[in-house]
Amino acid sequence: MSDELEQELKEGLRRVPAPDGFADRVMKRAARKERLRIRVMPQRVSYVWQVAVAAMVLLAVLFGVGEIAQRREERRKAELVEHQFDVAMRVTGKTLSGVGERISKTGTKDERGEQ
Amino acid sequence: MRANDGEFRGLVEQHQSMVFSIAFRILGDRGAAEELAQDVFVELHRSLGRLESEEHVLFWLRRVAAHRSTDYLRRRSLRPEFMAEEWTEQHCRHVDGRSFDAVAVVTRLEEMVLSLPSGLRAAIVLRYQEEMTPDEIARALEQPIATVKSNLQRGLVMLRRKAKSVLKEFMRER
Repeated sequence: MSDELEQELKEGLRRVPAPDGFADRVMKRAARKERLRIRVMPQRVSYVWQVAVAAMVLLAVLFGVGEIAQRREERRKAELVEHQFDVAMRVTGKTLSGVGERISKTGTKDERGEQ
Repeated sequence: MRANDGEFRGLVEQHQSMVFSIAFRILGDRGAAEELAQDVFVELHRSLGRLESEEHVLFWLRRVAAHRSTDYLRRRSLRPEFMAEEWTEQHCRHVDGRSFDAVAVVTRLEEMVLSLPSGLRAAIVLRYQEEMTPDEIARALEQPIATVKSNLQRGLVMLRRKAKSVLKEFMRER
């Protein structure tokens, strides 16, 4: 039964011819699509350019913002270094004056001892 | 693959019957099948650059025709019983050179196929109209081979059941 049915199906489900003028209608539709694609293409190209310009502007802005941020960071570091230098100089100055005082005191004692 | 207008027309003429028949047997509506078959060829025109050989074109056409037909059915949720009635009338007008009895038997067989669920119908059409192997059907429908085999088996079981009652009825009518 199965073989018989399968055979019937093979015979019964043969391809049927496409309607008359089918190929002509397909060719017309394909040509119309192609014309549309060619007409749409310049718009697409200009769209691509617009996107490219927008991307470049965005990149320039991002680059500029990055540059400003970097300079600000450098300035902050320079100020910090300057401040640390000032503190170091002040500490060094105090230390040196302390040492100077001690030296001068020691010198006075020595003079008294010699007498 | 590249093709000028003449070569593309050659491809359409070579494969139009196949694509139209796949769509017609899955949809059961001549107008919808023609529109869908045209869509498939217009898409082929656009995709031809990506296809590598004539065999690839054949595989692509079968795959796209079957997919689009089942998608169409899913979208429209057409009822097979309703389509079967249309099919009889439309099909009798287009089967030439066969006796009335042969046409009636074939038509009943096609009605039975048309009454199958769309997934089973696509597998049965590709198997018996296009004589594709289950493996080829699996690749075309992008389904596991086990699913295709099961769909073919279930389809045959359903058809066998329908065939018994339909043929009895047919013999009574004769």
